[in-house]
Amino acid sequence: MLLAFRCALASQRVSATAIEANEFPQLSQELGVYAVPRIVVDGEPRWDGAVPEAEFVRRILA
Amino acid sequence: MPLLRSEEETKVREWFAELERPVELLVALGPEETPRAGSGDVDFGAEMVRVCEGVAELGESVTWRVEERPEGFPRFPAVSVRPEGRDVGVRYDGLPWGYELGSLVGAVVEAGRPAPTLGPQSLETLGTLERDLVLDVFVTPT
Repeated sequence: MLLAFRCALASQRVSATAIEANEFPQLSQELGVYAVPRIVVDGEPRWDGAVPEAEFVRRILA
Repeated sequence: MPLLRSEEETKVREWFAELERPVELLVALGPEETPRAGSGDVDFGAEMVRVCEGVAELGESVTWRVEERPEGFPRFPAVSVRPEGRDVGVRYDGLPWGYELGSLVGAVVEAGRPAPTLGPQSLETLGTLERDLVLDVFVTPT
């Protein structure tokens, strides 16, 4: 999660929100959240799990 | 019940003492979605206030305030982590309980640093962005 926050702090173009999946079950269901962390970019589910910084940045811009 | 164990609190106080700029926690309260079964009678809004108040108590540079239904918050409760009171797009929707309390503490520590902490290559790559990018990371307390 911190990596997403660090990206937001590094770029005015990026915003990052942590969403507690259990508290927002409807949204979690809509986005098919079965594992965490689930990373969603511009509303599109992209991947589950932690990755190193370089790979994280590469994936969010892909 | 305290937010942190004694040794954890000591560590967080040390981190917060090194913040180089003030950080505000804006707690947003409003209508809440009904969470999954098993949450009992938890007052999520009140608990969010308790958590943020408790975190802010650990550092002189950390402040908190509450707004009802502020603009730009789609879910409640939520907390926006704001370096020098500015909205830079760092938010936590829902309660940062358990393991996730570390994410909130970490966000405060990062926001308290005047310079980004990503590596040079990552900064260069992000610098090429020509559109806004919205990251949502779904998490759970365990």
